[in-house]
This record gives sequence, structure tokens and C-alpha cells, in this order.
Amino acid sequence: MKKINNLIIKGKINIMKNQFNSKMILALSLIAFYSCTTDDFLEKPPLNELSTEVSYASKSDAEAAVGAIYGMPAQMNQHYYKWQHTFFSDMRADNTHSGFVASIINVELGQPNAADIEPIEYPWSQNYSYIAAANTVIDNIPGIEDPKFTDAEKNVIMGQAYFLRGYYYFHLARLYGGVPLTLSTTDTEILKARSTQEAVFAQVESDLLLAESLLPKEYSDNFLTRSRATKGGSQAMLAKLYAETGDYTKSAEYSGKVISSGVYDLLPTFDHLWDGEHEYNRESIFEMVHVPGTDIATYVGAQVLPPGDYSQYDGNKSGFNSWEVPYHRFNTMKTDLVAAFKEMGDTVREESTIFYVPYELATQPNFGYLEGEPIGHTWKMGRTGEIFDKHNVILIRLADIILLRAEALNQIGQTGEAVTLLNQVRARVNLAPTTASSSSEVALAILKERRLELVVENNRFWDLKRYYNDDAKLTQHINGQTDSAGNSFGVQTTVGKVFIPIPQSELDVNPNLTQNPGY
Amino acid sequence: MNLRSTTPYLGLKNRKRLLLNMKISALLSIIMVFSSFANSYSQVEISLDVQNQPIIKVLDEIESETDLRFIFGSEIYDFQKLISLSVEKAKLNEVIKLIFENRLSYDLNENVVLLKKSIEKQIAVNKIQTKTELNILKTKPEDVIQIIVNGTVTDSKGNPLPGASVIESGTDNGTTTDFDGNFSLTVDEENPTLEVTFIGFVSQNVLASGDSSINIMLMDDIAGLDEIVLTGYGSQNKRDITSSISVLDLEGVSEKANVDVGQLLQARSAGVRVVQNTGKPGASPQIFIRGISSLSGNTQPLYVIDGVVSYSTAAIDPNNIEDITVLKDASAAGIYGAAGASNGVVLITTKKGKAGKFKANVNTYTGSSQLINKIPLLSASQLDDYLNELNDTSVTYSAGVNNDWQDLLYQTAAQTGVNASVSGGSESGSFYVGLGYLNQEGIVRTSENKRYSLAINLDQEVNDWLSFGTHFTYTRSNIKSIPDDMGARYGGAISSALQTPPFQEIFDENGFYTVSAGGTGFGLENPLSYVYSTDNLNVINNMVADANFAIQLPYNLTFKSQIGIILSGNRFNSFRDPTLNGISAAYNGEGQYNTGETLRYIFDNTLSYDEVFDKHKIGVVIGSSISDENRISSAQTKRNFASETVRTLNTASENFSQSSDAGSWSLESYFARANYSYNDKYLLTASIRTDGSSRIAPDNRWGEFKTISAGWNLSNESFMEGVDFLRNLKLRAGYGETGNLPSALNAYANIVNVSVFPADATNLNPGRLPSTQAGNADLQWETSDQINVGLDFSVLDNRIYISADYYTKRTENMIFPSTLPKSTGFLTKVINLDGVIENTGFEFAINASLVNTSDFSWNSSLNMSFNDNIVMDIPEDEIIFSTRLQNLGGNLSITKNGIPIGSFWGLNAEGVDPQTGDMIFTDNNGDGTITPDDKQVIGNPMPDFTYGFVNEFSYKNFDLNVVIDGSYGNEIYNTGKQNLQSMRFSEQQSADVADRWRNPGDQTDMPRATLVDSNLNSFINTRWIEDGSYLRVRDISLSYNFGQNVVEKLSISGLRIYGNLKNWFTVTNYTGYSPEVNRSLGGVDSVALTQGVDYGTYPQAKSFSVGLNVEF
Repeated sequence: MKKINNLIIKGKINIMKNQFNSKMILALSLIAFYSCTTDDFLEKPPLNELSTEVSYASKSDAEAAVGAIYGMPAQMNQHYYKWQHTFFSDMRADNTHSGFVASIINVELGQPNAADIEPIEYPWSQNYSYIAAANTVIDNIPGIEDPKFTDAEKNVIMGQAYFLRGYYYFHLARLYGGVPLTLSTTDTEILKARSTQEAVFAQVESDLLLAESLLPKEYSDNFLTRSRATKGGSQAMLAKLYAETGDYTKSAEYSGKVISSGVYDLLPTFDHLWDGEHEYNRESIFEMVHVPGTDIATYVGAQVLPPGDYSQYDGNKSGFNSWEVPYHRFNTMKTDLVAAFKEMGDTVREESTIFYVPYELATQPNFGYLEGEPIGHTWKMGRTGEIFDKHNVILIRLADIILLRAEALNQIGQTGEAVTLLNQVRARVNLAPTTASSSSEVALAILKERRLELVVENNRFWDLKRYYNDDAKLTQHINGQTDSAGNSFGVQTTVGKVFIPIPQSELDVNPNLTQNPGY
Repeated sequence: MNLRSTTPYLGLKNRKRLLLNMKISALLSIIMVFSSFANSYSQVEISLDVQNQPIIKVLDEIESETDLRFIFGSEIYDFQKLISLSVEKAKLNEVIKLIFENRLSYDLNENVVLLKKSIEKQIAVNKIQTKTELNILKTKPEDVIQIIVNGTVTDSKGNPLPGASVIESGTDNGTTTDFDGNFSLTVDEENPTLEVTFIGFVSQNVLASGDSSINIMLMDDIAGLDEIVLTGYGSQNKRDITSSISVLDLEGVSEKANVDVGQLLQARSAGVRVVQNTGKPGASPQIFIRGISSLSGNTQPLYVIDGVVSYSTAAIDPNNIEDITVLKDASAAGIYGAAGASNGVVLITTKKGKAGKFKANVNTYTGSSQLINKIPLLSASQLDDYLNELNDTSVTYSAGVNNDWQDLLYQTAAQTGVNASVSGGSESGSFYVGLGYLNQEGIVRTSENKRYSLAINLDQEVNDWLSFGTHFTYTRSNIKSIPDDMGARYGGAISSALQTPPFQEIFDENGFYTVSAGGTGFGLENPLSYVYSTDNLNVINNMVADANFAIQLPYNLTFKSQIGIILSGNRFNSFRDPTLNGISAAYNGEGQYNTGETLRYIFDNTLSYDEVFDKHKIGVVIGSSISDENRISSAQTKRNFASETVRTLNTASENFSQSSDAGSWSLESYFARANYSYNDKYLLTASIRTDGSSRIAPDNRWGEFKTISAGWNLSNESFMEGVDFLRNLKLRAGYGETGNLPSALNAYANIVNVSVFPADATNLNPGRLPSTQAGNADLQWETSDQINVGLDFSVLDNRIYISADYYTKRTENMIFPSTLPKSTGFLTKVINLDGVIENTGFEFAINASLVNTSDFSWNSSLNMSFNDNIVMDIPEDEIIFSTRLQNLGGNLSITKNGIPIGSFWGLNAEGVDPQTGDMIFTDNNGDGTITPDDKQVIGNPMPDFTYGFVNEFSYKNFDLNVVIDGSYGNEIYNTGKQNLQSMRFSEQQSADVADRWRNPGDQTDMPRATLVDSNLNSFINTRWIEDGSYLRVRDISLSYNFGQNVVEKLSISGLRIYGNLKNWFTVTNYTGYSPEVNRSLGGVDSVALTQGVDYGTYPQAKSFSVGLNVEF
């Protein structure tokens, strides 16, 4: 196939010369006309997004900005504060098992891999995204000039942003140790080195203290009081922070402020905390809201529940006909935890926490769990057994703070008051007052109490760490876990691996970061 | 006649030729019939008074004064010669005599004057003077008895060639053929050798015996120097081209079972690499011209369909394509500036009607395709053994069940296609209508593509100065897809077919498709679940249409205006059947309904000027182009369906998610190009284009792109005279700049995302979040500049034509979504990365007419392309990781200084430790432990060279085409195999896992099975780097053309049957399904950064089809 052009044909332009000129003018004016585009032809602002310049100008903008921070960790694709914290708090301690995901097994066995996205990178990237949202508020809200936006209202918005930033940095530093501190969205230093853990905690303290000073004890609406940052929430976080840093005097002081605030009371029935019928109750200090049928909802249940229709074995629970992902076995209970409930004789909390697989269920085809296996179906946040669990997640509650104050008081020599507080929590679940009396006995009793009270509530590993206050002993405790036959689980946490590794992907892009020891 | 209209968008001179070429065909056919009629035009009276005008102008003048029209071969005389002439009411024969000094004669039919060489003494005298052939004259006795040789000259298809010159070899004695290709020559010798030449064809020497009639068939000149080559906003004669442009030889190709435009490009052009990276029906291959020159931006060429910049070929049925021209280097592509010309430009011309003859054509084919090879896996008992060793109790063995999931997933797929077209035209207009239907099943069950296509092209000359044209091409594809690669939910059907244990049941006790227990923790659905429990239907409409008009102005100016509309819309419906799928049962059915529409218009205006002054040839085009695109899309998912049989969303009660999206962009451009040639020896082309884009921050909005190139036709130099073995020798050199736009529409702006937060226990309020992408107000174009040096020549009497090019292409200001440390709160920022991507290459194409007899011919073309890709001068700390393999070891690909884009990165495996059964990895930093710091570059996905080899054999009525292509030296990372040899999960493994390490002392190259894998045996390392070289016999087609006798009996004008084999033979060491793989999932995993990764890719099929082509 060739296009040839061997023939040239001369054509005729059969037009009089005077026609040429008019045609020429016509054509040139067409060209001139065509070539003109309007000045804004190339102006194509985004149609599906807002630009920063127009986004923070009014009171409602400020509310939208701070509100979004609460929405972020509650989104369906965000898991850390819903249940993935259990990898590091309960699984790598002595409470629960990790299921069958290799990267999470590695966490349980004390060998987390820095290259694993889940679970090593997610807490890092997600917490920093929440922090960026808080920084956006802190950067932009003070400059808003809106006559309808009073200084008092601004303070409440700012206080919430400070609380949230402190909250997320606290968890980051507890997990990874010292992390880079980014405190403004306009910070141009991109490749930041890690600050020390002390420096991060100092920042957390400063944020929380500011929040405490700016925030109200209560909002006009109980929903807001339970789900938004408050003075009491700031004080509770300060109590946790001071305990973590060993300042028990201040921990006792701030936990005391929470307890005496008059805003919080223990819920009389323990199981009501988890049954989905008593959200926004008076024990709740800071609660993550899930809104059924929206993106702000979780599918925790799917991740942690066994397959099949077991609702019939589960009393009042709603139907759970199928499953998203079977056999994960996340958070089946370690025998040591089961034994702890038995030893304590704590049937109330045991029932709310553990579900033993009955014969009828275990013999169903492909069910995959053994009879009597203590599984986490009643794992507190996935209680309703629905794939898209509609329940809120309580992030901070009063019982935790009461026991924390007990721990702190015991540490600073006020063992008697500590015992009173401890018994307050025990009484709710029908347990007799503790028999512990010496400071060390009480310390151990509080540790045991916190374990059974707060299973899968992001505490156990840190509680052990505070109790032993010694990496070697902590490691020894964790590695000593055995199954019911007395066999070791093969946990190989080495001394010094208190912090999880800095994600490899972050090290890859930021040469100024250093890895934690042991990885 | 082998005249083709090529383009709706030619310069004045060429356009005139085009229009008149169409006229001529019509006229010729008339003439052939009526040539015996007496002719009154010989009596036309001509009056002229011209001073120092080129002959061509004088002929113009005559044409404007009279109805006479001239036809001539441009080589038979110097039509630029200046003459002065004054005649009053002269007859045609007198005028011709005066103008051509008696050296040309003519034939007159109706009003058409065919000028031809006459056998006049003057020619002889000229030749004697230049070639000192005095002897010939001397030895030519006056009294020799003269013999007459008669004959016919035709092209290879038997069409007569009028105006061919026939010269008795060694003499000055010659003639030219008449309208019917006939000649009659009085010769001196009894058995003379005749030299038959005709421009565009290979010259032939024929031994003639006296008093006989001979048929002489001329073959197309392989060099094709007289082709009109599209150059973007215009065209040029091939001999005047100064840059690197490939014109694809599509003879016979577009009438075969072609599904995608990429298939037409494959193997046929040096420097164009076509990667059929998936066998999914309806998917297009990836096309790379001269390597990869962008990290995250577009790497695919710009498509221009009948003059409309289109970015995609989805609107075209390949059966409606007439021509494809590839602008490879920047001096050619630069006229498209920043519209995306950095990756080359593919100019596509659709079929047009030909004047004179109404033609109808029906082409239909049917065939089937099948999987090329299966992957060997463990037997059920070997797998059981492995699972026991892994000690994973979660998997239960179902005795008696032994499913071969590969057999269950793949099918022998049927394929049927019909294309019908009607075309025709008159003297002033032409039409073409093409209809097409394709029904292509995929080799994975339920996947299929049904495509309907329509093309309508109309061109009309309104009057002598105004012409109008419109082109319309439309396709509608109904694509049923399955989640195939590992980017799909939990791994997709292809990897599921490999990883699902054979003892797993198809259905569970609830009648749901089973889900495997093991896997990466996110149980794989079994392959049939992917295939049958989810319906995905994507209905895609694509249209490219344009309307244009051209006005001939005085002074050889042409004004042309074109409006193009590019419209694409799609509708995606998906439904997950709650009766078949446990996941879907949980929400009682899930249905998705997504729609999208993209509308762009483009408005181009050009003014062009072409003129010849004596030895100077000038062509200029100036123009403007504006383009504006709007996109809108929406997506909704609902759950809880009333019934699984009614799948419209109105029957579902739960609103699961809804969203809509919109975007727009615009481009405004001005451009100019000038060509100049002197004496057909020295050629120069220069262009400039300035582009303004809405995607760039206002301060940097405008960019300028310049090109310059030059050529030297050495063969036209006097010192090359007599160098007969080397012809058409041309040197070319060019430099040009092109641009690439950011793909993000608003990457320069700081953006706030809209989100939601709980306003109370049951309601959400809109919230605002900072975008995870940091805005960059300094964002600029990505720019490329390219130097090209080329050489063209032909040898062996033009039977072999060779074109070779060397180039260096450097891309700077690379647009790149740099990964920010997450501690900044942002994830990415689109930046112009400092540094250079350099593609250096050498490519050549050889076109040869190897055998050329009247019964048998063999044409062959071979091209090879060598390309070196390297990244240089990017910041030392900028190391780009890509191809994230979840649960298999993080990022596989690395891009940094000194290595090619997307090189593989991992540990180097040295073997298995016989004591522990763990892999031994190279401790590169010598610190005694294996850490990520010991990773090294472990492979290069870029080929050393690629090649294409096309052979066309023709024997009597048979045609055989064999297309071979290949790639050498590229490496593939076989993720599928990594999964199958990971020995970490409770899933099926590849057959060679049977040789794994079991006991201390075992000598093997397969490590142990371990659930924990603390040694990272199963993470990215050299074990899964494979040689990706291949040679593939892409296409074999054999066709038979029924002869005239059969055709006439059937009252049709042509009948052809053919058989076609695709992908039938492949030579490769690669152990996966297909060595053509490229994963691309978007984000940082752009096409460029994930080269050579086999990611559970939908395998290519081999196919067989038979077809029938009828012409009426």
C-alpha cells in the first residue's frame, strides 16, 4: 500500500480578482474572531473541592473544620481507635490472640515487621492525618473575622483542636516512642527528625493543659458532652499522660478532678456499656460516634466475629447471618485471661467479655472454631454481631480513670484511698472488697482489676509496662505466656522492643528518621 | 489506479491534489470508456501573454482561461522552468509545443490533457551531453530494420499505469504509456531490454522479444518517497520530511480480525512498543514510543483522529482505519506542544469514499480463543502434605474433592465480527459509511466485550474555493468484566484460580460459593465466585466527530477551520448476588450504578500557504487551537434488595453510598510551522507552539515549544550521480521541545476536602478536612527535548529501503506526586522533580521487496529498536518506591539516579541454607544481619531491544502474512509465583514447592514452609525475577482471493476467504501466563513506575479465526 502522487493535476481557481479581496477579508476576520478567547478561558477552578482561601472564613467553617476531626477516625476505612490498637495493647501482651494474619501474628510474637502496612504503618499515617486536621484548625481559626463568631466560641473550637492533637500525639508517642513533631500545616520542614518521647509528651501536656483551660465541663447537649472534647476529657488524658511519664502526683491530681467534676458516674450495670442501648451514658468521658447507615460506621464485627449464624446462641443479639471475612480469630482469648477471670470469680465481666463456643456451633460445617474455645464475639465493640456495627466506641471512661487514680494514689503512698477507689469499681460487678492491703499487694490488685475491667480497651500492655517499670521484667512477663497445656506460645519479644518499629515506608522517604532499636 | 485520498487536512497544494485526484479517478474511468470519441477540446483557442513565469503557472493560467485540465508526472519535465510566451487564439498542440520546446507530447481525452515524454531528438541530445553517450549515436545505423514492441504496464494489482516511461536500455529511445497503460515502442534490436520506470514504483528492466506484446508489472516503491505524509496540521511529501515519522503499512491489515487499534501498531514501526498487558476483552494495550519519559504523567502517545486531538482510540473500530502515521521525534511532534506530544503522536485517518465507484464491502469472521498455558500446581496430596507441615488447622480437607480451578475458570472463547461498509463518490464529493459488530468472549468465563461501531465520513467540494467535510466515528462497547488482577478485591479471579486449594468445594452448605480459609488473611473467594456471583457490566459510548471547511484563497493560501467533539460516556452496573455469595448475602445484595460523561470540544483554525518559486519550495502554516473539557460522574451503591432477580436500585432499601464528581480543564494554543526546500536538496522545517493550560497555576500558565529540523537529499547532488547502488540517500537532523501536562486538574491549588462528622446520634454534618495533597503554586509543565539524527537510503534498485534513527530524549521538570513523610500530615505533593529521564536509542527499519515475479512476491519489513532508559540528577534523597505488594514485602520498584525507571529492588537470594531451610540473602552492608538496608537493584523491566518482523507473501491468488514481534532483555517480577511459592499461607502452591526443604541437610533451592517466616523467605527477592524476553508469532493469516471468473459469476467484484492465527507460537523462558505484563493501579503506581510486574494479570489468549470478505 503506497500513496503515490505521480500525477499532478492543475486545478482552476475560477474566481474574479475582486472576489478574492472580499473573501480574504472574510477569512481574516474569521481567524481574528476565532483566535479571541475570553480572558478567563483558562480559569478552571476545582468543581469538586474547596480551595483553602475560601474555606475558613466563618463560624460555620470553623465548626465544620473541627467537627471533621471527630469524623476522621470514625470513618469506615479507619481502624486504629476502633480495634486495631488491640494488636499492641492486648495481643502483644497476655490478653488475646491475633488470628491468622501473618503480619499481626508477628506483632503477637514480638516480631513486628517495619515493612508491614497493616498493622505497622496505619497507626502512623492515620494519627498524623488527624493531627494535620487539628493543625488546620489551630492555624486558621484565630484569623477568622466573623462578627457572629465570639471569642468564647473560638476558644471552645481551639480547645477541641488542642485536645485532639494532644490525644493523637499521646498515642503516637506511646506506640513508636519519639516521633517528628508537626505543629502547623505551613511548616516547611518536611524531612523532620524524630523528637524525643519526652519532647512529644511535653507537647501533649501543653496541648492538653491549653485544652483544659479553654474547654467547658459540659456542653448544652449531653451528646456533645460525651462525644466532644471537654475539660474532663482533657483532665483524664492528662492523668494518663502523667501516669505514663511517672508523675503520679499529678496523675492523681488530674484524675481526681475528673472524678469530682460531677459530670461522670459509673454505670450501674457493666454490660450496659456494651449492649448498644446505653450510649452517651454518664460513665463515658470521650466517645467515638458511629452513625448507622453512613460512612461514619464501622465493620468491626466483621473483622472479629466467627462465621455463621450464631445469633441463636447469643440471646438478645441481632441476627448475624453471614460474614465478611471468616476464620480471622482476631481476639480469641488467651488461656491466661480466661484463668484470670476464673481466679477472680468475676462472672459479670467474663460474660460480657468472653463467648465460649458451644457444641452445636462448633460442629457446624466449616465453622472452624473448637468447642469451648473462648472467642471474642462479645468483644465489646462488636457486640451486636452485625457486619456494619452501629455502636459507638468509648475511648475514655470513668472506670479507667478511677482505677488510674487508685494506682497513682497507691504509688504516692495513699494506699487506703486507693483501696476505696478500687472497691468502688469492684462493687459494680458484684465483687467483694479487695483483700490486698500493702502497697505492693494493692498495686498488683489494681493491675488485675484493670485487666478484667478494660480488656481490649487499649490498656493492657501499657499497664504492664507501668507496673514493672522495667523492660526486662515486662518482656519476661510477656514471653512467659503459655497455652492451656502449658506450652509456650513462642513469643519472642526481646528486651528493648517496647516500641513498635517506625514504618519502613516512612524511613524510605525521610532519611532523617532513625529506626527504633531492635528492628 | 492506486490513488488514495489521505487526509482531510492538507496544505493547499496537497489538498488540491487530493480533490483532483478524486476527480481524476472518476474521469479516467469515463475516459477509458469513451476514449474513442472525437474530441472537440483540441480546437479550444488559447490566448496567453506571460513573461518569466514558471511553466506550472502558465498551465494554471490556461486552466483558468479554458476548461482544459492537465495531468502529468512531475518528473517528466522541469515544471518550474521560467518561460515567456505570447500567443493569440492558438490551438492546444501549438501551445504545448511552444511551452515544452517539443520535448513533451500529449494525449487528449475530453478536456484532460495527459502530458508525456515524447521521443524527440532533444532528449537524446540532452542525454548525450550529460552522459557522453556519443557512441550510441554513432553506432546507431540509420538503416537498421525497426522492430515494434507493444506492452502494458500495470501495478501489482493489475491496474494500468498511465504515463510510465519505457526506454530501450542503453539508448535514448523511449515512450510513455497511455491511459490504459499501453505502449508501443519502435526498437533497434531484436531482443531489447526495456527500462520501465514510474514514480512511486520500483523500476524494472524487462527483456522483450520483438513483435510481441508484454505485460510489465511494477511493484510499489518500498521507499514510498512520493507518499503524502501527514505532519499534523498539514502534510508533506515524504522526500521532504526532515524528522522521524513512520507511516504504517496497513495493507491487508485492517480487513482482518482486529479488535483494537494497538494491534495495528504492533510490530510495524521502529520505536513503537506495544504491550498487550492484559487479555481482558475490551482492554487496550499500552503503547510506548521511544521508551518511557514520564514518571507519573501520561506515557501513552497522543492520538489525533482525522485531525481531532483525541487522547484515546476507543471511538474507532480498527476496521475503519485507512492510515496510521506516527510522529516519533520531537521535531515532528512539537507542533502539538504541550497537548501531550512528549510520548509521540499517532495520526489516524479513517477510511473515505473514493470517487467514481460505488463500493460495498462485507467482512465477517468467526473463531475461538483459548488459554496458552496452565501453571503447574501441587496435587491435592502434595498440598495436604504442605498444609500439615505448615500446621495450620484452619483449613479442612474435603476428601474426594479435587477441583482444577484453572480448568474451571478458563473457557474456550468464541469470537465473531462483522464489518460492512459502503463508499463512493462523485467528482466533487465522497462518502463512506462503515458499520461494525464484534462479539468477543474472554477466556475467563463470563467476561466478554460486545462492540457496535459506526463511522460516517462525508467530504464535499461546494465550489471551486470552498470545501466541506464531516467525520463521525462512534463505538458502543458492552463489557462484562470480572475482578481479575490482584488489585481487585482480595486478589481477583486469576490468582484465586491458582491459590484456591483443589480440595475446596465449589459451594458451601448454604449454596454460596466458598471462600478459602487461608490466604493473606483476607480469604480469597473461589474463582467461580468472582465469575458468577458478581455481574459487572460497563457500557461505554465513545464518539469523535468533526466538521470542517476549507477556503481556497488567492496567493495559494488556504484557510481551514475544524470543530471537533469528543464525547465519552459510560455506565457501570454491578450486582453481587446474595444467593450465590456469602458476603453479598450478609447485606442482602449489593448493587452499584455509576455513570460518567466527558465532553470536550476542540476548535482549530489554520491558514496555510504553499508556493514554489523556481527552486525554492515553501510551506507555511499558522493556526490556533482551543480545547475545553468537562467531566462529570456519579456513583451509588445500595444494599438490601427485595429480590435478586430485579437488580435496579429502586428495589433496594439501604442507601450505602452516593457520590458525584466533576472536573474541567482547558487548553489554548497558537502555533506556526514553516518548511523550506531548495532544489529538492536542502530541506528545513521549523515550528513554534505556545500553549496555555488551566492545569497550571496562573503565573506559569503559558509554555513555548520550538522545533527545528533539516534534511539533505544527497542523492540529488551531482557528486552522487553514478552512485547507483545507493539511492534516495537522505540525512536528517532535528531538535524539538514538547510538553506533558499534569494529569491532576488542580494540583497547583491548596484544596480542602469535604467530609462528614456526627452532628448528633443519627445525623451527619458536612465537615472540612485539609487535603492529603499539598498544593503547589509553582507547578510547571513537564518538558522534553529530543535530538534526532536519521539516515534514509535504498539499495538494490530501490528494492530495499532502510531508515535508521538515533535519538536522545531528555525529560525535565518531571511532574511527580512526591511522597511526603506522613508526619507532615500530607501524603503527596505534585512537584516538578529536578533531574532528567533520558531515553537514548537507536532504531532502524528495513523494508524489502525480496521477490517480485508475476506469480510470487515476498515483501518483508524488519524493525528493531534499542532504547536505554536512565534517571539522572534527581535529588540524591529522592528515591521513588512504587509497586506496593501488600503482605509480600512492601515496595518492589525503585526509581533513583543511575538506573532505569521502575527497576526492581529487593534482597539478593543466594540459595537455601541446608541447615535451617531459610533463604540465604546477600549481606550487602556486611553488618552480619539481613535488614532492609541490604536491598539492592535486582532487575530491570526495560527491554534492551524490541523488534517487529512482518512478511507478506503472495502466490497467485494466495496471500500469507506473518507478523512476528519480540522483546529482549527485559525482566519480569512474577508476583503470582511469589504467592505460589510463599509457603506462608494455607493456600495452593506451585508444583515446585514439592521440592521444598524439609529436614536439615536437604539440598534444594526451595526454602521451608513457615507460617511466621521470620527470615522473610517469602518477601521480595531475586527468586521471582524472571527473564521476560520473548519472540511471539503474533499473527499468521492466509487468504485466498477468488479470481475474476468466480467473482464475475457471482456478480460481485471481489471475494476473499482467510484464516487467522493469533499468538499461536511464543518462545520465552517466562513461567507465568504471558511475558507481556505491566501492572498499573494508579497513584504512585503509575504505568511508568510499575513496568514488568505480573500482578495476577488476565492471560492473553491464542486464537484462531476464519473469515470471508466480499466486495460488491
